[in-house]
Amino acid sequence: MPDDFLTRLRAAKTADERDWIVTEDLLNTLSPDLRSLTWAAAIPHWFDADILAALRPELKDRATQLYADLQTLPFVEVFPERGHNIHELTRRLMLDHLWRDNPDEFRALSARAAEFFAGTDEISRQVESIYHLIVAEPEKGADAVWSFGAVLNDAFRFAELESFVATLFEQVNANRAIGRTRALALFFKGLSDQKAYRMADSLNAFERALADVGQDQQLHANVLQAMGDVQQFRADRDTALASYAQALELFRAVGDRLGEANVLQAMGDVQQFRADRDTALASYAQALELFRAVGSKLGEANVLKAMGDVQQFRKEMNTALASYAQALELFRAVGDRLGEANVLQAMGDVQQFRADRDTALASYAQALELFRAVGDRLGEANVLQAMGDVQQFRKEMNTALASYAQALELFRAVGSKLGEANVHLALGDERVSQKDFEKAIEFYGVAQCLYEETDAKYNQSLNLVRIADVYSKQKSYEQAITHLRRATDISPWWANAWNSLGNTLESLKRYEEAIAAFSHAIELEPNSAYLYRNRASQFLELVRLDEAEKDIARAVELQPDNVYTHGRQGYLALARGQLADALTHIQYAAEHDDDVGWQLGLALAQFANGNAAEAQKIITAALEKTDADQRENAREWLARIVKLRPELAVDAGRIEEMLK
Amino acid sequence: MPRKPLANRKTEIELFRAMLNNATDTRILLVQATMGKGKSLLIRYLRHECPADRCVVHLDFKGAEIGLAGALHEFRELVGATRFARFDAAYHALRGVPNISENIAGGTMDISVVLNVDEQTRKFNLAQLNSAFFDDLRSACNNLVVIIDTFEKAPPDLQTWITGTFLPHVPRLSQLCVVVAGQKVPEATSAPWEDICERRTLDNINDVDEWMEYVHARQWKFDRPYIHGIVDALNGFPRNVVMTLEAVAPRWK
Repeated sequence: MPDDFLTRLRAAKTADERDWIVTEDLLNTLSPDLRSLTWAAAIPHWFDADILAALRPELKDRATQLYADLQTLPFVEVFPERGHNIHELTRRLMLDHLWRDNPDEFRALSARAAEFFAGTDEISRQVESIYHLIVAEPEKGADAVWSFGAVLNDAFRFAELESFVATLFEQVNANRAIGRTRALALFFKGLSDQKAYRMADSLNAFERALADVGQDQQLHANVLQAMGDVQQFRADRDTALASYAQALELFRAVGDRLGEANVLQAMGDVQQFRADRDTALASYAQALELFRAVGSKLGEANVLKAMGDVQQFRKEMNTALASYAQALELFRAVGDRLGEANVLQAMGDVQQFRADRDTALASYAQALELFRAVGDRLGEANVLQAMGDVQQFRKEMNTALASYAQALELFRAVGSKLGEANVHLALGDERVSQKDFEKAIEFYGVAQCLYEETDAKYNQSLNLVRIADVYSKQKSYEQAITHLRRATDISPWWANAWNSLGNTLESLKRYEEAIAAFSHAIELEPNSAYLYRNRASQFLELVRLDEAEKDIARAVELQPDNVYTHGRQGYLALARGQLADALTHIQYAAEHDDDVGWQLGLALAQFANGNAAEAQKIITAALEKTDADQRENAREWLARIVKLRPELAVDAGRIEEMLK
Repeated sequence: MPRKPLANRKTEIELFRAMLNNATDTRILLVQATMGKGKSLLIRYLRHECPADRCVVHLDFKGAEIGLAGALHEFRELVGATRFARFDAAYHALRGVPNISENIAGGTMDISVVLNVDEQTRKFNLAQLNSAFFDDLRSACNNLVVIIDTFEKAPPDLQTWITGTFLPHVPRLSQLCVVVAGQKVPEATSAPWEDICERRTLDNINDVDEWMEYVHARQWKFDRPYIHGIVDALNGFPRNVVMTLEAVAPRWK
């Protein structure tokens, strides 16, 4: 016999064939009962006497003895705390052969195993039961995969979800789970990969799942929605919207209104990311109606919060607050304290924007308490930082610094470099307010390094603009320009950075370059009055009055009552010799804004209108508060007035002396 | 449980003995092997090599659903719950938030409650637990041996924790020996624990003398030419050689 065995071994063509010859040879030496029990023991991942008795009811009475006999076999090993198992390689070979040669027996044993492991809360046994059920009764098994996978996913049990998927894949890879079951296994694999940020794997699993969904439109819709989520994460927004659109159609076809609402909300999120805010609001509005129709208060609350965020972006602060208030009520009604905290924080942001600082602090305080209660450290840190910002506005510097310090500690603890950077930026702002420019640059420098680590483009640009502001304050305009050029390189779409660049170039009297910077900003934000006003200033300096007039006219269209609009109108009138108009407009600006620059402008307008004494009186009162640049600018305008009215030259000389 | 005889693997056993006796700088032994090479048998052998006065934590991730929470719990139970005062305090501090209090049943420790949360909170909670865990381990453990088997079946979060958190602490934990075995094992190159680590890959055993030693230990009567033929036909693949000999032994004359 050994010789025959060796001959067969030598004739084997593959390792698997050789391994099976060895396995079969050993199995053939066992008694019929032990052999029968060994085949059954290969079905589950582990076994003990009870499991064996359930799998082979006909051997129930001898199960304990046969279990002991099994333990002496070389391919049986200890399974910690659960009994024993058949060694992985041997088990795989046995299962492959049983499935090929006797699938009915395989299914019958699987059915008994599924039943034995069912009916418990223990996750390992639930997984084991479903693992067998998908072979014994594929449809029932698929339903179980669907509901159990959803439970694990919704409960953040991602490690368990991963194990569940890995277990299911043993059957999938052996072609014992096909069609809808395989699609479901792939769907949950995709979700599991997504949670672990393996986005390419995730998309691949979803794509493979689509090939197997068959007629299950519900599953089809869920896979497409999940694909959209991954595509959105990868900033592949067009593809995400296309996936969502397909999912939406399918959810509608099967009448799943909750699915429909969820997809519409996700579409709104993508549209909001693309700054397509009208469309986002429209999607949210549809989602809101559906959530209300199906009675999902949580869905309703989430959408209202998202709508509030869009409205806040659009500076529609009253509407935003109204949306947030509704969301707050709903989050409270369903007991979602994290949702409640997020809304309160957002309300605080709006209130802070409206300079309603007491109310903002009260909202933040409530949010802080809730974030602490639910253990959300990141939320806690964000609110502390926001509170610090408000306190800084209120000039409560010590309190602000204490809030920032707490925020910083929490950001570090949760590993949020972005949060850490934001606090450093705020600390830089605080130092600027104290005119401690050196320290401010130091804080901004730390923030810049952290922002670069996180690849947060907008924040990098924001911080660079802050640094440039400090250099401008110190009259180091060239350094400011270097930083602003970096900001516009990083975020070329950000109008404010171009505006800051224009302003700084103006300080160096590089008016043509400033015009180019403002023109760039105007292309990005064609409805921002301040940009037209700023460009008009350059045209006024270059005495290109028609162009200045055009920009000022646009600013008047957009913000007719604005102080600066009147100011520019005044200077244009002054340049054109329309002196009464100039006085009217500049007087309006001086009465509505306490910037000392308007006082100098008013003095110039009075002087141009022949009121030299009044002009001197105004200059005397304001002179102390002016800086050299403002005085120099006033002298230049004085020269322009003298060109228009040479008879004022003598009085102008006196005023010029005052302005030196 | 009696220790089963083992064919060869002498160098791995000798290295492990040296680790136990502080006779080597090696504190981490990685044992990598594909299926059927006798890895788990070797691990059980090593487990039995540990003297009775050594505290041994043997974790087998065969039951893949154990996860990080389960592994921490097992560790605590095996070393002795009373030695984990800081860890317990950290757990209770994290668990004490009202939202999850309903998940505490009968005073048992369910670490998953504080880890199955949103990503940022999980990161924070895990940092708290890790800090306390290693503080406890540092003061509690003299002569601790940690044996991890079936590493490849551990879920990714647990594999990451072992490679990125647990093993880097080993150089700082005196008298701690670690064995990690699996079809896949952590990558030591450039790791902070590289200098105290040895990696062994188990291969086929083609040395007939080694198999004859095994045959004698099993008190079988096979002659050398037959063993030579079997080893040759099976290319020394341990799983197949052992199963073949087990099958033939009762019929051998």
